[in-house]
Parts: sequence; structure tokens; C-alpha cells
Amino acid sequence: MLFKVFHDLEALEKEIGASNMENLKQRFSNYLGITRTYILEEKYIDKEWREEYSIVYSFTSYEDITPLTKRLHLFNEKFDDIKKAKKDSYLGYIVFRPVPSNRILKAILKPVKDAFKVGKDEQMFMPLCKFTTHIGSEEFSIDAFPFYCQDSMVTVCAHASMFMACLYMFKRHWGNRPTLKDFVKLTPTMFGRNTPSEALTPAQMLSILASIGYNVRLTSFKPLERKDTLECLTEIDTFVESALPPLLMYGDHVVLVVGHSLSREGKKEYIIFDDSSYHLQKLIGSTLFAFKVPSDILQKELEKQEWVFIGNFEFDRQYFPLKSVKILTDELIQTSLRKRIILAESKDIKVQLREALGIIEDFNFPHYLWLIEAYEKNILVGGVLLDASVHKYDYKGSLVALWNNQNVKFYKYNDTLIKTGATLVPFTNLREITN
Amino acid sequence: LSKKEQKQASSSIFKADISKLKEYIDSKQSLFEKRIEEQRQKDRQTMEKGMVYWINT
Repeated sequence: MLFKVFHDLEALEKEIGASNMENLKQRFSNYLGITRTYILEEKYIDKEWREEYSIVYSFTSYEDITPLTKRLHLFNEKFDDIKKAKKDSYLGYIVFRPVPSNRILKAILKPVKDAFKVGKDEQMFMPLCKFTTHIGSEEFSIDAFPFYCQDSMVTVCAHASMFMACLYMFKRHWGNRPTLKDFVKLTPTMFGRNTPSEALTPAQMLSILASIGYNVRLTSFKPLERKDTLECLTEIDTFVESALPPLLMYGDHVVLVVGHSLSREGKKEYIIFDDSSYHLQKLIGSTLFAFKVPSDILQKELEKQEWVFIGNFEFDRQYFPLKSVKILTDELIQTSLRKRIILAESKDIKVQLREALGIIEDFNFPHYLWLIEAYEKNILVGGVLLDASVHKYDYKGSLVALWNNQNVKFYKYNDTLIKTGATLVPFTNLREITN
Repeated sequence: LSKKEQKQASSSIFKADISKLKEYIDSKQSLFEKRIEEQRQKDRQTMEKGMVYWINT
């Protein structure tokens, strides 16, 4: 049998072994709690494992290391025959490496509020892309954010976070599909050979990402010296809201910040994907692959750091960087107002804000826009639209529109002034998780 | 957010009169240049430290 069906973990453990079960419980207990049926695929050909195998494991004398992996599918309903599985009961899958340690290879799991302990009265937002899976002749599709875990031989946390981010970028926005082979081949050598990987520096990571066609900008913060933690969090917020998950590097480790939850009172918790759980353990005592971290806890941790780096993905044809947006809008918007900054495709802004901003169909917007919303006591009171394709110092040329209490002035289009009379609405690039 | 709430919100969101915005931006050029130079210093530090900071856990 290629596929075996299980309803309890004891029976599953007999099939996958104690080590895999231990790893499964450590990293995915939040999903095991909502799973009713497991389907084990005994001989799965996994692309990333084949790369790791070809780079190193095929040359070793480890016994029991094969080119095949085990893949475990999770469903939140009970059934005995895959043909009877409801499509929307599919939660995704987890792949195990056939190695002595670091057995979790990757996971593609549908975000579910229960799994992240997000309450029914709270909101949860994440950037997602589509994954389609086949179990025999049955096809299942989910929207998810991909998870990959280092093997500590070919890859470390730096590769893992780059892989997750690039696979998402490739599927959701644009860019080349990331391969571990390219990551290894394109690593600027510092210590002789690149395998086994000891570490990567942020500069090496950016060099690799640039070589495979991604535009990533590195910024740094020095919380102990410059007291710039809030600035750091603003930058994280900007790229999270833009659905461009930032690589957050501090304390020798890197994680991805991929979304957030929001309580009714406005309390924010970041959704963090952590390949080794090194930071999640320190922040909230969790060994899970991903979980929510209260913003005040992350802030306190960052405040203790000498250095914090953020790697931000930028779009092609986007030349006006966040630092220019900050310089300009600090002088435009009253200091007392809170700013929410988002980089977005103009087509999405047109769709979501057509009525609120009185956008006329024949406005020829640039492909990418910076949207800056201004809030007074959590009430959206106005904002700015900037052209993201202008020269990095062309502040005046970047102005597309300003709006203020239902009056919108479009600077690029004959200084058109539109009285919309419409209610202002916040924009989002993220998907709200409702299940 | 209701229309009433929006009207209650501050009407002075911007530091400049929006009809004279371009002139206002022109008047801020020297300030912008100062901020750009500060940013350049930070970028240099980012690259220097970014070449030697190990990410490996």
C-alpha cells in the first residue's frame, strides 16, 4: 500500500518510528490537536530532499538514508477511505527526512486560528500562496505559508528562512523558484568549502538572493546604542503589511515574520516562522514551527540587542525605498499621528480603495505605490500615495495623492481635487484567516 | 469608522497646505539632504557589520 490511514498517534508511531513522532510532537503539536485523520505516504519523492541528498547524503556511509521521504497528510475530519475525504478538511502535509537527526524537512499547512490559539473574537492576517497536492488520484489545494527546517549539514537557519521567503515570493508575487543547490553554489566562500554549512552572514544571504533574482535590502538597528527598537518594529510592520515577509536577524539566528493577530482592543501578536524554534523558545517557551508572539515581548527582546538586521524584499521596478518614504512623510504628516506604511501593487489599491479615494478609472498609476495611512487615536483620518518607481531622492516627483477628511488631491493628474464623501477604509495586502 | 467620527478627527493632518505642497517640499531640501547623509552613515555600518555577523542557530 502506498498510503496508510491512521486515526491515532500510537498506531502512527509504530509506522514512522519514535524519533519522527518525537519531532512531530515537538514542532506540530498545535496541528496534531485538530487532526482527526492522518494519511502516511511511505515513499514520497521530495524535491528539497533530493537536493540535500545529491549535495551530501548520497556520498555518506549512513545506513538507512534513502532518496525517498515519508510524507504525512493531515485532515480535520475522520474517514477511512481517501476518496471520501472532504476537500476542505485537508490541513496540509509534513515531510520527514530519512536521517538520524533534524528529521523535519518541511511542512505546508493551512493556517487555522485554533492552531495558533487565536481567539474567535480576534483577527488573524497572513500572506498566503496556493499549494496543490495529490494523494493517489485525489487532488487537494490549500492556501498556506511554506515551512522548511534546516538539516544542519547542507542548510542552517539562514538557508531555511531564505528558502521559505523565496518559495512564497515565487508563488505569490514573482521571481525564480529557490533551490538549495543554488544557495550552496552561490554562497560567497569565506571558510573554504560551503558544506557542511557553518553559518551565513547577512551580506552573504543578500548576495545569494540577488544572484537568484530577488531584490532584498538590508537595514540594521542598534537598540542598545541608538534606542531605535520602535523604528525597527515600524519597518517590520511595513513589510508584514505589504505581504513581503521580512527576514528578522538577531542573536545569531533568523526568523520570518509572516503575519499578525489583532485583538478587539488593538493588541498585536506577530506570527513568526522559526525553522529551529531557537527564538520562539526564548520569546515564548515554544518549540512549535510557528506561533504568535505578543508585540511587547518581541519589543523587549529586541531592546536587549546590540544589533538587529532586517532583510526586506522589494519589488522589481520599485526604486523609491522605505527610507525615502520615511524622510518625506516625517515632514508631511503631523508628528502626533501614527503612520501605517504599506507597499502595494496599484491594481490592488484601485480595487480596495476605489470608492474611498475616488480613484478614476483612467488614472494611469505606476505599477507599485507606497500607501501611508495616518491615524489619530486609532481612527483613520487621511493619508498619502507615493509613486514607488521614482528616483530614490525625487521626493516631489513621488507625490501621487494626499487625502484628508474625504477630500483627495491627485498631484500627478492635473492637480485633480475630488470630494468623495466616502468612508475611509484601511488597506491590507494580507489575507484574513477566518477558519 | 463613521462619517461623523471622521469629521471629528483632526482636520490638520498635514504639516503643509496641500495646495502649496510642492513649494513646501522644495523648502525642505536641505533637511532632506541632512537626513540622507545620516542614512548613508547607517547604511555603511549595516554593510560593515553585515559582512561579519554570523547567522547560524
